[in-house]
Amino acid sequence: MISEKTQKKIESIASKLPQRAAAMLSALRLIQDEIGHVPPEEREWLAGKLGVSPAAVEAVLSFYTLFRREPEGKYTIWVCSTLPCALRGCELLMDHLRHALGIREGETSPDRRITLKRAECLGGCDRAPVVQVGEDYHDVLLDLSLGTAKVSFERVEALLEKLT
Amino acid sequence: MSEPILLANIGEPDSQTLEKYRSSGGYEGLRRAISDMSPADVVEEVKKSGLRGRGGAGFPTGVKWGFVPKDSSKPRYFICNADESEPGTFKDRLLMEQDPHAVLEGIIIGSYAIGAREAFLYIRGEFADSYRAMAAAIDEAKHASLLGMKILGSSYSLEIHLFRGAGAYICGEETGLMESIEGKRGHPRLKPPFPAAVGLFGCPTNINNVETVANVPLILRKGAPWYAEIGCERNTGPKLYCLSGHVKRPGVYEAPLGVRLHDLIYEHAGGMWRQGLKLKAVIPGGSSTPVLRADESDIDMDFDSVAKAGSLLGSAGVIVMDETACMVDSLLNILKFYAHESCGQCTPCREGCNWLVKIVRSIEDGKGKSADIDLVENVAGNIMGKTICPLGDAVAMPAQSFVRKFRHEFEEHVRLKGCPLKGAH
Ligand SMILES: Cc1cc2nc3c(=O)[nH]c(=O)nc-3n(C[C@H](O)[C@H](O)[C@H](O)COP(=O)(O)O)c2cc1C
Ligand code: FES
Repeated sequence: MISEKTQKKIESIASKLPQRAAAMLSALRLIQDEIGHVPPEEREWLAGKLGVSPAAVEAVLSFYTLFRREPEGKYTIWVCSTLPCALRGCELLMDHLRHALGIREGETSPDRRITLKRAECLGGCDRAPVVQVGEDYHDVLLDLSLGTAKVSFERVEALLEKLT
Repeated sequence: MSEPILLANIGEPDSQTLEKYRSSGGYEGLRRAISDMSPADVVEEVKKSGLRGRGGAGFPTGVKWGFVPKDSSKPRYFICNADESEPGTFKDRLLMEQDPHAVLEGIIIGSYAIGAREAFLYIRGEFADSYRAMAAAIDEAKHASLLGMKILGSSYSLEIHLFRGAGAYICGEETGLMESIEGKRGHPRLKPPFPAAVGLFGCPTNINNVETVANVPLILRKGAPWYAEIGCERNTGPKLYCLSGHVKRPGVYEAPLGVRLHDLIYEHAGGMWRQGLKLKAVIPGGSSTPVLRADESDIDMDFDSVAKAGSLLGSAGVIVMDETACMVDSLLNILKFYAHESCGQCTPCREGCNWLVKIVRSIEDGKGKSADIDLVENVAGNIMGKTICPLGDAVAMPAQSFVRKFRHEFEEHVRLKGCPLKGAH
């Protein structure tokens, strides 16, 4: 179960809003920040706390991309693959990451450190191709000025080293 | 290139602090609004400025504020839409991260104008820095009596609730966003009733984009006539343009509304990113807006001119493509985005998006037939205008325009049984 501190935080948010259910997204985020995902027990608890049905919590949990119902790796690497990032080589980056980590998209490395996922436009297309790890955006992860055949992945290696 | 107005503070050290913001006239607009003007005066001033919403549709902001009933027995709410998820758009993030007080001042003035005692700022979930900057600005403003009880010693009080999204494009649609704040799936609502009558928690609500509200303090500080001089007729004020794709310097650039698109591409953004490659296509207003061929792209970038050219200014997310970009593959990329983000309520959108992806993928993979090209237009035509919210149009417009304007590329894929540009980066 989540800590008393987080429970109090959720109560304080809910009590300040015009309707308690409006604390749903904030509460799910707090639970996930503490546990890493939102387990069944916490979903039940939250439904009671906000005065909604457990099905209502499930509906929200399954709708939003950033919520996790199952545990994932310690870090999730999100590789943006929407058009502006695609135009600047995100698929080369994705291929490289797949090989470097030895996993496919959506999978978690055997040591449970890294989950690799495909993201949609992260609102950082000025830095395309963009990768998000935790809360941070990383840019210029490959140097395309060298031409496709000779793309440099130095920055990717440095990033992976920091994570593993 | 003219002096920046909206971005004047940005790039300065400590641009996000209250002290810095105030040193260049920050919160003078709020002071003027609250001490010298009635809420109706403020609405009138914003109407006179000609400010049109920067969230996509270009609706006149003052007019929208005027729709909120003054005699309702229910509370009124002001929402600032910071969900910024239209592919190719990244201007609101810059404003929130670097000039959060401008956004905040705009929200407070807007709330005062419509008589809201509570405001909501809904920030897309991935924007952690924006969230932190806005939270810090709210704290600073509260301590300086610019927010909270009895603002600047007046009888007006306002509370702001910060919300973070959780990864759903559809929550940028205004009623989807309201559902999301209420703690539900972001399913857009049928309109009417419009939010001004029945919005958040069933109460009269006004919603504006981040860039829209960031313009408001300038109007109040310097006056509507000053503001209306910027830009062009019926399209007034400074505008932020997001340049991405195959340009040398992707980024956010400010120019008066009506700037030439080719000035944005070739001067501000430095032209094509690789020497010797020519411009092929531009999407002028975020990935949902119709694509323009290079030869039709030297246009004025204001709401009316882009519409006249057959596209939309939308969120001003300018996506630039050079000759190495495959139009079939680019369309497929766009379609996949909307297929994933369709909320699933409306059959034409939910099913149509997936069919469009399947058909265009088969063309890109060399398995398409000639008739499939017409089928793309046909399916898109059956989504357009037939859905609760405009996400249906957002997928239909690129599908139709890519096929109409680059039909030869689709035909070439069918003839060659594959993509001639595969791997050409
Ligand atoms: C699918 C969809 C997504 C949208 N996403 C956003 C968004 O991320 N940010 C935004 O400000 N407006 C977005 N809009 C437009 C809003 O519905 C609304 O019109 C806008 O926030 C109004 O602000 P304005 O009057 O200041 O332009 C979206 C609309 C649709 C149909
Ligand atoms: S497309 Fe990748 S951040 Fe916008």
